[in-house]
Amino acid sequence: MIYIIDGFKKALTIIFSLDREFLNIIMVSVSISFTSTILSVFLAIPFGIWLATARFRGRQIIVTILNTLMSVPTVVIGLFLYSVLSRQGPLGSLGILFTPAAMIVGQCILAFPIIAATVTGGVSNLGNRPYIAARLLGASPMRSTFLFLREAKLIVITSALAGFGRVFSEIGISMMLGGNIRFYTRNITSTIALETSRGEFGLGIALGIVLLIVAFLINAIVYSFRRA
Amino acid sequence: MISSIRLKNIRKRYKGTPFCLKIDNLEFHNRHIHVIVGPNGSGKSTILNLIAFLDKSESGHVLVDGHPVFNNKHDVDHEIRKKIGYVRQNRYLFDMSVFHNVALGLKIRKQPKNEITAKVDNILTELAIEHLRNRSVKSLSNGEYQKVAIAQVLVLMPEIILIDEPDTNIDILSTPSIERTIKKIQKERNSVVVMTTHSLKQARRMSPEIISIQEGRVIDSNDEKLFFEND
Repeated sequence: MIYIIDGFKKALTIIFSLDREFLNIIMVSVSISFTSTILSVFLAIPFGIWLATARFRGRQIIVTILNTLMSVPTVVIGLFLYSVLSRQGPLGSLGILFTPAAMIVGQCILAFPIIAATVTGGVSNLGNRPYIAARLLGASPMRSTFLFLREAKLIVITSALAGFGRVFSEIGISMMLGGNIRFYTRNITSTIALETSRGEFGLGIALGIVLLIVAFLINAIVYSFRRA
Repeated sequence: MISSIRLKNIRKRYKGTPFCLKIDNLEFHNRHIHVIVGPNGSGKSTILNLIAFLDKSESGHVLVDGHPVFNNKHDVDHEIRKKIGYVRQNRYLFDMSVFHNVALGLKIRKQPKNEITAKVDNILTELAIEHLRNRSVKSLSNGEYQKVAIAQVLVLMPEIILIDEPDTNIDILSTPSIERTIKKIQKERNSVVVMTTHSLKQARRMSPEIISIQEGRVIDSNDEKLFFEND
């Protein structure tokens, strides 16, 4: 019990002293997760809108695949990309394994189905009515698309936040593709795993508190948007 | 100025249904309001969708002032689209205030700000909904929503006005102001106005010439009695 209390004491010291390594780990997590979420948003949102509004044979199969991919374990994505990016792999010549780039690619794959499926679900309810309404008012296709996105802004924002929340807290991809290299690819989750295995709880608890705060903030933002 | 729309040799089917719209020749002009009456599923909305180029027929043409307009979705002239105002049954208002919704079409047409304000306020007064001006559309009742949707189209004073069942969700007291405004705009603007209704009484109030449609076909006006006996 004492080691847990000691861990919390150390954690508070680390947080309030703004320890250099502690801040670096947070920065690595934020920058990699933010970049991967932004890239996923640009790919997944148009795809999700298209899937929600298009009518073609096989659409339901794609929706089912997308929903299945939402629950793919991160270690499976890590394993798949490791085999592709390792030296003997087809993309081994890129030399990005154990770099932030590999983590970003992995997190993009993780976030894509989450964002796309959330957008598909939300936009399916909305339908293409805003687009048609805008066209009927004389708006050009581009302006109609803009008005459509304006109507779907809550869906877009909540899906992006859901994607960010997922990639920020994942560990499998970070460990397998990032390699947990200090001051380079070591992020919050991989540090927590490492510190726990070493029996050093202080830094792990401090980073755990950061994770919880981020999760709380994401939920608070989503809630405030929904209320508004 | 558009003075007539004609549907010629139109055939339109919907997959998986026995429904087929068959119209050999049907003309709407700007001399008076045209009202299409008919039971549910008879093809009234399909006609309006074809005129608005929202839907495409398998064969036949929509002629505007005698000239066929080809509807290959992207090929319909943007300028013709701008001349059409359509209040659909499946209407949609944007998540903004009533004022901004009604003003949206005018903003798209790049009208001056002061003119937009005057026109919006005028149409809201004519339809007796000026008290809704600053309300969010999310807070409107179904009837209020319908009136704002009508205002959004009528404020544009389009050359072609299409209204699918204008009295949907509207209380009896509000119906006269809507009918009066539609008539007034038709006269002032010389618009081609086509509206649908279930009510034969409303049809008679609005138009001297009623088009009856049943199972996708225009029928003799005397046959109206067959399905409007209780109206």
